Amino acid sequence: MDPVDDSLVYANALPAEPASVGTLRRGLSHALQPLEIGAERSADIVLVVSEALTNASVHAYVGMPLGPVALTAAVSSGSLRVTVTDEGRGMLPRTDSPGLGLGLGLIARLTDALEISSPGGRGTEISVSFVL
Amino acid sequence: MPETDAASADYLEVEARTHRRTALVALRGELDLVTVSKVAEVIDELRPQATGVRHIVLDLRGLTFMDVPALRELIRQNEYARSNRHNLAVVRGTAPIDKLLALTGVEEMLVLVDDPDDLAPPTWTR
Repeated sequence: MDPVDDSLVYANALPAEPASVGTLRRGLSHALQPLEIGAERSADIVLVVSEALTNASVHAYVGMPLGPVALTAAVSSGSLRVTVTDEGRGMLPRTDSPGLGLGLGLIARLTDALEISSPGGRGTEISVSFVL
Repeated sequence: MPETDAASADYLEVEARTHRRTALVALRGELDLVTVSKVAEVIDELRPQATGVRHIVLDLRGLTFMDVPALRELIRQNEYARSNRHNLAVVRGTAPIDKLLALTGVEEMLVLVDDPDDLAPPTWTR
């Protein structure tokens, strides 16, 4: 078995719509409780994940049928690695963006590592790590 | 794929109480992409200026979560207050919410207080 799977904390996938953001956020928040991470760090993690999920629900499937957004969290080598993945149109600029442009900057400031990729030009994967 | 919560909007309670020309709008729960429209609805219903309400105090102390879409609404309400010539003050929330306001610089845009009584009479009526 993959060592990441050995320490899986949370995994879920839902339609990438606004109502899913809170459901996944609350699921992760509940799953983090046994890890005793500390209130401030937990709040940072939940906020970062919420912003990534919000980005997916607002931007991923513009101009195409709604698809899923997946959230996984795993502990490995003293870090919590959280990944938000969609199967949408990838990271494309939007001139009609409803956002403030603060979300990604906030994610970068609150995480120890951030990776954004669009494998094969389809979908977006945001991976963030938090040293525990 | 599994269903999401049917009642995500229920994760926020908004209570508005008025005293003379001041309205206290207290938020409890999670202020996010889904629930934030409730705040706009309640403030719209207050019809500041038209009904004599000149001051709105938005109390964040009961919030357990707030995100960037919620910040966007705070900024929108602040701009609305300026254009409508009423006053908007925001009561600081918990430490994570204060941190969000500071990191994004939004705290510089708002009138922030620690307690609504810093601005308004202590007795409120619905």
